[in-house]
Amino acid sequence: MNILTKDKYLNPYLAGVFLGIVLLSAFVFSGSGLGGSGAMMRTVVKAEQVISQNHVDNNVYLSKYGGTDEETNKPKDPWESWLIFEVLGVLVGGVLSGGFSNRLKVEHNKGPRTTRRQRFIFAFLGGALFGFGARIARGCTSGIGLSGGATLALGSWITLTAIFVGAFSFAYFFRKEWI
Amino acid sequence: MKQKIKRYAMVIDTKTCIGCGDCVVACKVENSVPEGFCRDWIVSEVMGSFPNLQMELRSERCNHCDNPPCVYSCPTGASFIKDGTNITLVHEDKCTGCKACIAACPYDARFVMPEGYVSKCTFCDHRLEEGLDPACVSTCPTHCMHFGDLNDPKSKVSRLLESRKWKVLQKMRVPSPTFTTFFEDRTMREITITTNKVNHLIDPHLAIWAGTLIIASLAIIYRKEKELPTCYSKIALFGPVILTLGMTALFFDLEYKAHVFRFYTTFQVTSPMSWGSWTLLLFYPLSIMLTLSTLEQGWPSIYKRVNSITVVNLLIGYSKKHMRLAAHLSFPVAIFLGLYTGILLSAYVGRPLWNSAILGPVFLVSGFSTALALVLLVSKDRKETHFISRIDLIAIIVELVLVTLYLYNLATSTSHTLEAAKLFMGGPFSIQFWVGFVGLGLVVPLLLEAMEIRGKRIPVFLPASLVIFGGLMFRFIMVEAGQVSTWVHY
Repeated sequence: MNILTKDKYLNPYLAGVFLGIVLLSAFVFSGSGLGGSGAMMRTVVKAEQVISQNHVDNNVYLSKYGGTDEETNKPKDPWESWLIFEVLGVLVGGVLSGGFSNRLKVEHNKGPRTTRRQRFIFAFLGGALFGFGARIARGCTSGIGLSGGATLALGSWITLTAIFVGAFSFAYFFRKEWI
Repeated sequence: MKQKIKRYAMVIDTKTCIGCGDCVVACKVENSVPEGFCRDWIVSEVMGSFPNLQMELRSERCNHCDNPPCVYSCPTGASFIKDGTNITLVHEDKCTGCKACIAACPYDARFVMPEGYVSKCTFCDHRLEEGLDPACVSTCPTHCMHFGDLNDPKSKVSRLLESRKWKVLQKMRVPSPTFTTFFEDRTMREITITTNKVNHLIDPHLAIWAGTLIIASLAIIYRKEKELPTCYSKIALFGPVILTLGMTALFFDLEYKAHVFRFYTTFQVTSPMSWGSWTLLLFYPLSIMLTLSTLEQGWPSIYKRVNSITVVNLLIGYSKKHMRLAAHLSFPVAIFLGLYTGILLSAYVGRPLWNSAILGPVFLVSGFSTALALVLLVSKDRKETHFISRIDLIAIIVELVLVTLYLYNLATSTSHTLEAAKLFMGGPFSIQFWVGFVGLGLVVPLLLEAMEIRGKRIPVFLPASLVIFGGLMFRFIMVEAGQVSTWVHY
């Protein structure tokens, strides 16, 4: 059951070094670090634009990404961001590397006593909470933790600590999902 | 005695034109041009760079070209050259509003009337018959517009051209980003251009349909019933389905739907669209025959349901009898139709992005590879998918080569095709083209299929759906971007 014992995974320490190189080159080539939740947020803003541009304009937070530009009178495109392409690249890279190491298949990683449905519901709720929290913290594990932590930003280290403390303290309550 | 052909021309004295717009108003009144449209307009072009600037003002309209691409592209003969003159006119009774002529016109001089037919400047043909000048010329307060017959050496325009320096209002305009327009009418005209786009659903289906037909006919010709069951018996059904969807989309794109029958009351040798509409009509039955002849093996559930109907039963029997003949006929037709969409676009002189005959082969290969991906999605036979992935891999490589050649062709033709190519090279369609089409639609499936051949386990739906996505993306981009590209750079 343990994922890490499966074959063909990269040594985590080596992978860490590679990730650091990717992060560094991201700073060099795009001028900003890695992120994940930003792409999701921008996609959500894009969807909201389709439904009601008016709502996006009137919301301070949303209008920053997809509000109507006062000079050109056209709505900003929230997808016009490096993050979108980065996440797209992550997906493509994930699929390619998965294919390369022969583990490209549809699977559900879940504990033995949970049903697939429960797993999806919990994953969705957890993801939604984490996404919401990430926007309050101004970034997710990759954006604020990885990219910010690498630059030794104080806020990033506080957030990272909070993420780990949160995970440890709640693991007890959700342990039955996995054992 | 045969009357000499009149070659009417308009000469604009750019030294005296002040851009007042009276010609535009006169035309609107004379020809009752509806609000929001215009048959002539004012251009003010700024040339050079600061401090060496030059400005030219002129009145423009349809130039009644010697070789009018609009007339040659018209599938119904609605656009025609008036006998004994060079005046191109539109027969509104014959016009279906297919907008082929709008895409073909390098001057963007045509527009769709609210009624649905295409209209444009007629050089005030009705006034010429009475011996009068066109309304714009008669009205011009600075007398900068001159009108007459170039074949008559004594006419005003012929004498002017002898005595003054002149240039033909051609495509070699200086592209200038600093132009300004002062007249409402010109802006309005731009609005009408954008609403006159052809539907982007027009051609996606055609090449894919052609692809399914190629696969099905080849499998039948080579009797691959056992080895390639999906190609042999299943894929044919997609042909009529995609074709019907596409034909419906085409119909809805016509601005004058009641005139749709006009496609089939004439055959225009010079119009690719006319070739296309006749071929489609004639070979619809072939596609249905291929489907019916293999329905029993391929889609037994549908077969059971429809076979009880007497007519269908008879048709199935007939199709089975002539199955090989149908396959032999279908193959060349499918190749023709696969090429056709690209050639149709490339013949539209007015849209430089499309002006490359390589577009035909590109569409053919892309349609073929998209159809192969459809087979991959449908097939449950491992041997078959393995074989088809290999063919698809080759098709993708060929497509990559052809797309490179196409871009090279654009970049080395004229300054206008180069401008058009820039739509993909940093212009507004770059991301869709490079990330969507080339990246996700070609390179990633190429890598995945290569891995599959090397023995990795790749779920076959991944490369297949990416290829279909890329194929549709490519068609969408080509149709959209093509209509943004233009000869008119002011």
